[in-house]
Amino acid sequence: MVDILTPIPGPADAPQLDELEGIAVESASPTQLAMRRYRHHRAAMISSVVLLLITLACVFAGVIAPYGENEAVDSADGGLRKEILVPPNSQFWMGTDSIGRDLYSRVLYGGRVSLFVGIASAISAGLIGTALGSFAGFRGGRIDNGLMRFTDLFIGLPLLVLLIIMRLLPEKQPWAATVLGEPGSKRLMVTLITLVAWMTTARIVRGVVLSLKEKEFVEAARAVGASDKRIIMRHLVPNTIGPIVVSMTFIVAAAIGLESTLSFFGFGLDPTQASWGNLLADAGTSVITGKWWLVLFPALVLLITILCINFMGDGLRDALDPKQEPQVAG
Amino acid sequence: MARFIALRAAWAIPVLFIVTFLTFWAVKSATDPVQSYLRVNTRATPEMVEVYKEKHGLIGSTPEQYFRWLGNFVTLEWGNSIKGNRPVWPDLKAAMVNSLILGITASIVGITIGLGIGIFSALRQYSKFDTAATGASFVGISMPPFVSAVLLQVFFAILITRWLGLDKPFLPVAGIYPPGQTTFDLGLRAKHMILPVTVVAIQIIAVYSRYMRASLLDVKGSDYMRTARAKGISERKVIMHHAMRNAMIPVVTVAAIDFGAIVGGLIITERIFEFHGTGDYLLTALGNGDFPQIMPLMFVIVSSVIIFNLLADVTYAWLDPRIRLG
Amino acid sequence: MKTMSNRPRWLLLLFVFALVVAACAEDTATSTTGAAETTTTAGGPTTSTEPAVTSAMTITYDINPDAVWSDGTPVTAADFICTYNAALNTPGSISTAGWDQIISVAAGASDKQVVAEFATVYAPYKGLFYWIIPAHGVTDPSCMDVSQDFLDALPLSARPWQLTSWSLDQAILEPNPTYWGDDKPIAARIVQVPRAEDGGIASLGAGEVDFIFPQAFAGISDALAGDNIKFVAGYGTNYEGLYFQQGEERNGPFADDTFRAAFSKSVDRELILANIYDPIFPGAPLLQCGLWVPTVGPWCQNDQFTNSYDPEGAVALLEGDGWTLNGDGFWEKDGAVPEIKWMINTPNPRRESTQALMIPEFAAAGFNVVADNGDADQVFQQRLPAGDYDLAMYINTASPDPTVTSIMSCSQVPGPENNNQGQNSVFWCNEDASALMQESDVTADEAARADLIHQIGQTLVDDSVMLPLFQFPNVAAWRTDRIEGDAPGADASNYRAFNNSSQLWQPLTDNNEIIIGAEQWPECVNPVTECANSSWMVWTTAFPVLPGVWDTTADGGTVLTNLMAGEPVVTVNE
Repeated sequence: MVDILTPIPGPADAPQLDELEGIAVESASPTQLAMRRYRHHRAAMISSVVLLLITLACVFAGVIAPYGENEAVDSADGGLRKEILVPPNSQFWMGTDSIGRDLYSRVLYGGRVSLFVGIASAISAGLIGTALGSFAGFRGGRIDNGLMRFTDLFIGLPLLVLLIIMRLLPEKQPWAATVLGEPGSKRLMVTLITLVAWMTTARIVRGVVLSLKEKEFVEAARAVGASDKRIIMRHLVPNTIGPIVVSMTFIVAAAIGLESTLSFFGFGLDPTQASWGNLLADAGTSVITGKWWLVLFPALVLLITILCINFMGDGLRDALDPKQEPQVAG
Repeated sequence: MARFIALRAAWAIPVLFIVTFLTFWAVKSATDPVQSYLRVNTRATPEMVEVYKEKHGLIGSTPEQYFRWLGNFVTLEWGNSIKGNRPVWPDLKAAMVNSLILGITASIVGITIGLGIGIFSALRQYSKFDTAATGASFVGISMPPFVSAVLLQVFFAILITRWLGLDKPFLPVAGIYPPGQTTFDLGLRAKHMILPVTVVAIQIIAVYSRYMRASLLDVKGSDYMRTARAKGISERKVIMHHAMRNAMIPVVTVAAIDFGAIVGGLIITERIFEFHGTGDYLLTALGNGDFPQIMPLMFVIVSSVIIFNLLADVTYAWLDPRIRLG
Repeated sequence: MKTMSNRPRWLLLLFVFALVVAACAEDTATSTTGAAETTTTAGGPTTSTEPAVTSAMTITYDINPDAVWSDGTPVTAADFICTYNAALNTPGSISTAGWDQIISVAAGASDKQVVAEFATVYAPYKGLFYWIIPAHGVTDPSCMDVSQDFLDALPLSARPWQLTSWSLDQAILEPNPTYWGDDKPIAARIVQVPRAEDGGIASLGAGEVDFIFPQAFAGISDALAGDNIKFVAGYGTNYEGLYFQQGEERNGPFADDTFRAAFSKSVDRELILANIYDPIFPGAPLLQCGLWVPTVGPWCQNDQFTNSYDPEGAVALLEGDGWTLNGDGFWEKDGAVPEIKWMINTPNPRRESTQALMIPEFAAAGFNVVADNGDADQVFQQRLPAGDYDLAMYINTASPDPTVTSIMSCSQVPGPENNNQGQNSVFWCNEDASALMQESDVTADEAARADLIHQIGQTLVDDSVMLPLFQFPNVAAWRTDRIEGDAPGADASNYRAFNNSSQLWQPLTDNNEIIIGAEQWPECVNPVTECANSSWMVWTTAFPVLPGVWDTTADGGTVLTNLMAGEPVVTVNE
């Protein structure tokens, strides 16, 4: 809905542990403090565990999944018939679909694809955004202005519309297919999401760098004669990692949501490839025909994954940047 | 202040041209109108194709085509669609009306409830209400709208009807009116809007409640507020007069940006509930590669976003005198 | 030389002038098929010095004296002439087949009599004048181009219903006050709304619509289970099949005859039957003949495709033609692996399941098949006629007459010669088969004709034109608390429910109206151009509204309508 790449504010009321630290005898490094804060965020902790389980299961789908991704399971009594539309039972934990493919296996394989798209998009958007945002923020002046004006162009444009149009480009224009990716491919999906997501990270990083630039330790470093590059690497980057990680986490969640939405409407990944969006698209109106499992399990897994990632992002934000203000434009 | 607005407006105009030109180029490349035309008119002779290209100004370089198209657009000569040869303006007008009604209703409902929940949560921090609201808003954000749309549709329109043994749907499955309705009927219109508005509002509520809560908490704990309280002004007055105004700043900014997102979010809801608005219209047109239908709509969306951004900046500045970005 | 007086000289000049005009008009009107199909390819008569073609067959239609349009204007020969001109000349007309066999259509003894002269003894003549356009209802009085008419209205009717409103969201039929027949509608109103997402199944269950006509898929009986819902599957003349686009010019992978034959041999139709059709209609067999069905006439020789699945034969064919399996397991020749684009219309759960089932099977057999789908309008109104696919899967309706010339002959391959108006969307040209088709069209003796048709069927096998899959029942479902009795399902087999809606459908509702959920919705209601490719357009608007000479019966036969005062007189001129 609202620019889903912009993280929503977390509880701006996390315990101010660093204030308390002054009283206690022991001192802890910033990392340890962060971890402690994270552990206090119960929802994030639970989500981390759940997400870890889901990710491991999907990554090891090849080992765990009882059947193949597109394997129409032959029926037990021989013949050409497959195990069509079987409700969940001991053999097929999540039932089978209209041509006898095990849904549980497809959910696992589909998770691989969905998670890959999410993480890859977040990493590339994060890298590009960090690079451009820190450069612009550090240099300031015209470059900074230019970046802001440029990203201003795209704020508020409906993401879905942009993505669909861009998704159509490679179908008609061969050059787009080479540069961006073949229609229906994961590469195209990752590229497109990156293209719309990098701006969020860039703006956040730019903001942080701007505020840090004026701090005393940068002045001190300059006075000592440190080069720009050294200042960036040793002083600015470590302080921006927090917001970057938080931003990237939310991008993962948004990307998974976008991919599933696009796939559901046929503008996403190739239908022969299992992804959570494609599974939901296949399910179609299965609830009405009574085949509830085809809709419930993919939807549930999708929802839980995105929810966990959002909670984790919230926890990370509390942990890494406890006094930050709500992230808004400008 | 005036200078600020003038500067902003001056910047907005070239931005408008650039972005709409980029959109024009992108949409044309993505849909290839000539090919779409040939697909629909499979027996078109080369002469007919030339006539079509002439009529829609598809000759010459891309900037030339853009300005020609712009001329037609401004004079409201939006032509006919490729598929079905239907005039673009009447269909689009009807669709825009539907979407505006849906979007505005959902926004009013969503923002009001969202802000309310946010304020309540902030005032009763850590209460059961707060925790529940937080959890619910996270779920609202995490659930892709097509999932909630399908689930709501199945549950309220189909399952409940079945369980209660009704012979008319409890809530409508799809459409703006029940089949057979030819006249305007406010009650029926409203009934058919309940589910779509709910789907759109869920996300709005989730986001706005979070923003309001965080914003209000922020302000609540600031020095500014402590001073006001120290002066002896009642808590309620403090909140209403001072906290709210400052807390609204980020919310307003979000609201302005939200417009474009509303358009996007409507697409999903409209398609699933067969609510013939601009989102549904755009999705169909994109699927058909129907350039004459897509372009005017994209222009309207893009320029609305730019104008809203401008308005947001102005309002932002008005609310917070410290900000004079320029 | 004796000098001629003035009058004869002018007469002579006039006569020559008329000859030239007739010859030129002949060329444009008859395009390529011309008077008699010669053995040349899509060429047709080009010499302009031919005299007017002699009539081989004359049909005289006597219009019912009571027949009037809904505005009171009588139905006359002018409407027949208009229909003929429109079908033949409108750019974008979907079928000129048969119309191009007509030399002239004119009024007979009165304007309530129509005389049509045919250049050949055209056997499938009952397919012509299937519906009539009102001459005074089109903008072009000569009716040469009706493509701009009937975009969102069919204002004049000569059937029990009239289309009082039509839009992309809704169509409303109300009784035609001037209808002269006995079968006046029982219902007060029929409302039709699009329900493409699921064919209307959800809406029917929720009570939002009263009648639907969805395409069957596995699980549909569960979906239609309910106290107030009844559904009927009727075997009609529909059949589903796989079609290969083999046009030389279009240069798809199936233009290569060997490759196409090998692919055809690699399709395990029994597998499709077991997993796609059997779950819906248990026990029903595969269809084993090409473009006909066993329940209509002697035309289907139901064993021609029995042994189509021959994977070893496929391998032998390919290896013998220089193909090898590459590292990915696909057949490759000259370093290229052909990509086969399989087109179906979405949403359609049954066809989507078929794709999901068969694409991995094809891959295992070495063929790179990819799904390339679109919505119903795109597929049927645009891509299929343009040959914009390689493999297609769709349902065809076998007409009562076994002729397939209009869809399978060489002359109907879309090309410059026929202004791209051909209907042969598989782009198949076999001269011998086309000759057989022409011959069968003019063969009156049923046994002899059946023999010719069987031969044509065999060429379909030999040339790997298509693969029949299943004689597909139509499914009609309705709410028993809204519509009386079994009527809507009685003729589900041939969508007669739509045609006989006036008498069959008795609403049980207070407002005496029936609501239909439509699985597909046309872009317009023009009965001549692209929108007429949409079956739903035909069923929901043309059938109830536009009059015609014959109607189809449930078992695929024809019956005369009340538009005619009596049986049309067919005279074969020797």
